[in-house]
Amino acid sequence: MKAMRKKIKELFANGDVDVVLGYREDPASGEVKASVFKKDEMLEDMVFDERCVQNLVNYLPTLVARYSKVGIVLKGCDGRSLATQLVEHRINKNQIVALGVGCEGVKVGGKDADKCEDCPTSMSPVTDHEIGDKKQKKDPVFSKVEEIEKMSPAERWKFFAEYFERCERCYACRQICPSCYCEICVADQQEPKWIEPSAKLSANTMWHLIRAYHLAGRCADCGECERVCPQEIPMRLMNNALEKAVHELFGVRPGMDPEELPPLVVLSKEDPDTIMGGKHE
Amino acid sequence: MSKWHKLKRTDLKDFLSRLAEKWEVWVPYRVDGKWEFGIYAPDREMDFPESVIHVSMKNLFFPKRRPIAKYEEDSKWSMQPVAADDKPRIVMGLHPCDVAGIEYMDKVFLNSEHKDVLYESERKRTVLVGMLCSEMADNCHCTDRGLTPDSASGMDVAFAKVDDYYLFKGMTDRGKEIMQSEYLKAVGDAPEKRKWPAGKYAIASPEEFMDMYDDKIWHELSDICLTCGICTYACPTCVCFLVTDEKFKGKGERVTVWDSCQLQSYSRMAGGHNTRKTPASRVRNRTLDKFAYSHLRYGQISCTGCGRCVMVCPLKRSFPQLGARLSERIRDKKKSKAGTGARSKED
Ligand code: SF4
Ligand code: SF4
Ligand code: SF4
Ligand code: SF4
Repeated sequence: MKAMRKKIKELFANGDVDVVLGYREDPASGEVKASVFKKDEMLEDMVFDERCVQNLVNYLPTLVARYSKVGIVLKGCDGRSLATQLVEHRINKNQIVALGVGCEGVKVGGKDADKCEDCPTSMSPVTDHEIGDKKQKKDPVFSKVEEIEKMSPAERWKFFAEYFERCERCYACRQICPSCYCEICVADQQEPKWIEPSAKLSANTMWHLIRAYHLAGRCADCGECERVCPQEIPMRLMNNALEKAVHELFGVRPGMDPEELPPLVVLSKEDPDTIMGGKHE
Repeated sequence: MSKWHKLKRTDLKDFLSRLAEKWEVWVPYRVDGKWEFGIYAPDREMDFPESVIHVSMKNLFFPKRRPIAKYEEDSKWSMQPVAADDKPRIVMGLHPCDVAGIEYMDKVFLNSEHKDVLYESERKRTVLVGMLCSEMADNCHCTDRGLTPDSASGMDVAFAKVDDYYLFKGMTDRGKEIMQSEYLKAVGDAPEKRKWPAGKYAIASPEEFMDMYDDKIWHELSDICLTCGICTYACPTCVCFLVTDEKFKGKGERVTVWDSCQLQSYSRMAGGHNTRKTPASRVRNRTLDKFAYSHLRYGQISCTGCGRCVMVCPLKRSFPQLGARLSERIRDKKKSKAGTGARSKED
């Protein structure tokens, strides 16, 4: 923490950043929240520990529109998230100062976060400054997805329908997702109305399928959608199922390489062709 | 005035079962640690919460999804209005802030030029059996909004939990019928009146809030808000809805669905222009609607201080605190007598 504060003070002093996105412990309530730090402001309240769950990348587009240089504190997963945004040209790297922190894992509701179990990077793949240690990369494990795959289609439908039924269509999952940034979301379109706006099983199912599919090969598994859902709908399961498919087909894990284009926007002769069989010629 | 009546806690089930013979009785249930409202069933374990719970009763009067008309291909798609439900109903266990929320909805749906007939029928068929709070929960700040946790105002019947019994009192003619139960015994003493502390979120006046419209502070106040819809869905006085048609295989329904000014889609107009594109402008709308616009339109601010918006916020972002911070800013501004901030380009 000391090293981080020192680094950030330096960045402010050199004029390298206008603001820094980080985590702040509210001295009154003791709660840790996302916060925008300005020069000589509140830096003593800045924290980085297991309570810093939120992915801050989502706030970058608004901030880069208001400031020319934005610093951001990144865990490994947040860094992958940032990488997906850079390859999609949503954010210009010149405006970002990436502060990677060696992450030891975070806690949600007092328990180790599920996403940390499958985490492939403790250090952000995009960094300008690194604080703390880098840990070994891990190969992906999709044990929970495999359990679902063992179910029959009817069992699977029952499993998910119970959750879809509960969705309130508050769109907290969409709003917190760095990768969900369509100017007009398909769920908000009126003509044609792809998805009915009312919270009922059929429309909610459409919403969830489309949300998940639009993130195939793009979701870096930051897990925020699932964490903020007031109805505890297991969205990571759906995201991970697609992540697994993309990994099997193209050998890609989103966010691991800030130079690599999302596999679904690339047409390569090497792509497997599961419909016609064999490879594209 | 009628007297307070005692109901032994052990008689609660019999009392409710008797009521359920005539009324549809709605009571709170706790499912997996979360509260919800459901129709009373004797074999289901129920309880009354001491104070506010995360779900409001808005859904019982103004449902999340509400068909208002039906049509079919066979009858040339001619619209048939949905008939109002008139089965007598008791809604039991609302707290003073819930009742205040319903009174605000009345102003919007009943006392305006366009009366909402379905809402009216829900109100007409319902007897409100309210419960006086025995404690203030973490985020409760009704005392900052002119309410009292143990006030029976607006209830048809009021009741309170005391030791191993409940005390009931009929407040209106509609409530009297419920009071005729054989399980209720008249007693002399009323539940003890308590002195309640002020909350943490006192606010400035509606006029002062209006003066903040062009202030730059909205960007600061909105900087971490996701602008999702959940705080408005949970709020007992957020009443915005959209109207949409849902058609499937020769049948269709016109429905109203809860909408939220926090979502981008809310203020998008035909042709694509969006009047509230930035999160700051949407947060400003929600804040001023609660603390100022409501007052201009209905003579009453619409925040009841229930604290639900904080309870449900995925970021635990405190909307009441936001109102208080804004009020602080208003005070500071007055002190320094500095001019208003310039209108920001992004709005
Ligand atoms: S956050 Fe949860 S309840 Fe809200 S729209 Fe997403 S899935 Fe539905
Ligand atoms: S879909 Fe969920 S896990 Fe994936 S990037 Fe978006 S918020 Fe993160
Ligand atoms: S205050 Fe919380 S619940 Fe309300 S819109 Fe913002 S993030 Fe969503
Ligand atoms: S704004 Fe928040 S505290 Fe006020 S009535 Fe709505 S939910 Fe309750």
